[in-house]
Amino acid sequence: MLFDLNVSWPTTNYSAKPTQVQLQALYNTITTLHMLGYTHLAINFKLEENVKFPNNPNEINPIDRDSLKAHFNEKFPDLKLFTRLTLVINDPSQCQGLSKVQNKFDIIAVEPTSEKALQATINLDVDIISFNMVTRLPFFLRHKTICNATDKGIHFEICYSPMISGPAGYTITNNSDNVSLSTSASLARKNFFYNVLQLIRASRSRGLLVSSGASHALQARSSMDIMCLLKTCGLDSSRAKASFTDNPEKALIRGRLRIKSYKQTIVMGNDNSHSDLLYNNDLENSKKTFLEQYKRPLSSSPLHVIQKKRKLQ
Amino acid sequence: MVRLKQRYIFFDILYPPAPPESSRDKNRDDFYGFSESQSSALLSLHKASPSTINPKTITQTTRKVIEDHFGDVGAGTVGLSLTVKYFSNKTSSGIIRCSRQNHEMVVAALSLMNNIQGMNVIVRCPHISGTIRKCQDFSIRRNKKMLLLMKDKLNSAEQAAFYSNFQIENDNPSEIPDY
Repeated sequence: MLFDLNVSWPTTNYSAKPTQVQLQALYNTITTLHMLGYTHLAINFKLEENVKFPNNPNEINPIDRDSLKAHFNEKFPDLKLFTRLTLVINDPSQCQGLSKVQNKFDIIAVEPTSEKALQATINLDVDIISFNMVTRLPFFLRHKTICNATDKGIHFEICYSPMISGPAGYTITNNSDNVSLSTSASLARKNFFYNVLQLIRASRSRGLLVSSGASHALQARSSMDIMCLLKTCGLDSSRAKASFTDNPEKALIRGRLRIKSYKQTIVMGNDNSHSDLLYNNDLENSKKTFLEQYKRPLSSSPLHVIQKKRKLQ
Repeated sequence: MVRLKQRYIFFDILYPPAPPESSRDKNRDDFYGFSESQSSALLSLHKASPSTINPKTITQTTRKVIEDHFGDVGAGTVGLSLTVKYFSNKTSSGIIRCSRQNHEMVVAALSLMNNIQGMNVIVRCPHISGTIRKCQDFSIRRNKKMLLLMKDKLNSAEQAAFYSNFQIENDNPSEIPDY
């Protein structure tokens, strides 16, 4: 099983709706990633800091899961799609309450842009911390901070698409037949390698996960190739592989447990295939927690029986 | 006796669908039909390469990318020892020979490439081996499996193994029928 927990949703705010071409580009990206071997994909909705959540709880998740399901379930039965929210946080005091959105998305991620924000987000209930890798981080990643987060089970994301293609990629210049990089693209790549090295050093290569962040099909890459790229940065083979398989799985399970379990410990269901019990989100509507099936009437709970006995005495 | 040791990298070039620029663009059908089924996606990705993409241009582009990312040291140590031993335009796949120490640099450079001769491409390396013979065996086996996949004759476990490039336990080459 290969995971890619970041496939960009075309819009970054609530007002704009994706166009037909953008949606088709998203479908093509998902298909290309699936053809490269990824089976569990999360569609990422990135929200800038100053955008407020809408009041209507049904509108908090703009990702059109029904049409995605209708498109992919029949044709690609092995593909599993999830939704993810990434919040950009610069000033932690401006941060909106997470409790409102927690049960609307499968995974919650944050992108801190300052050191204060990073320290604040570690105490939040999030699954993934992501950094903008193509600009130089304005703060130093300290081992203590990063490992604090890793110990809590939060994973750090390395997102490779912004430096592979698109504006940062190779293009043909008019005066020669050969491909070349622009100055800004080469700067983006330098920053990416610097930031990856910082993250590997600060996290002692634990708790990293790699995702594509692809917004069109050209930015998808095979996991083996990116593993080789990370090996040249000094990540060892087993950890590089774990950042495609084990670590994203843990992050996804952490997110799914928030929805499906009682206090992240107990999951109930009558499904025999254990892995599917957590991953199956086919029946969920826009409100993901449907606690009704977990709840029992108070009269049948052991606590109530004890209370009753006490009252009789 | 000491032998000169090499690595042979089997790579294939994929052509992802690009958004059409106008309504009469010939890529339009490709763009909208791409995710309709598994076979249409496979057919579109594994297109035949145009004649501008040949061993010479691939070597040039790879050397350029290695020099951009790993500097003069990288270009000297792996870039100069790199040759494209085989490339087939029909299957868009080929074999690169490079020195053994830094073959990861070559794979990394191939993954960082997104354009060869004006064509938007994804280059992927499904297999690395020490002899060219094993690379050839792998590519033949892979193409046979791909044919079966197009005809929908693989079960889901075999399909998953094919895509993710991890071996499954009963992966016996003799079981694949000849065509």
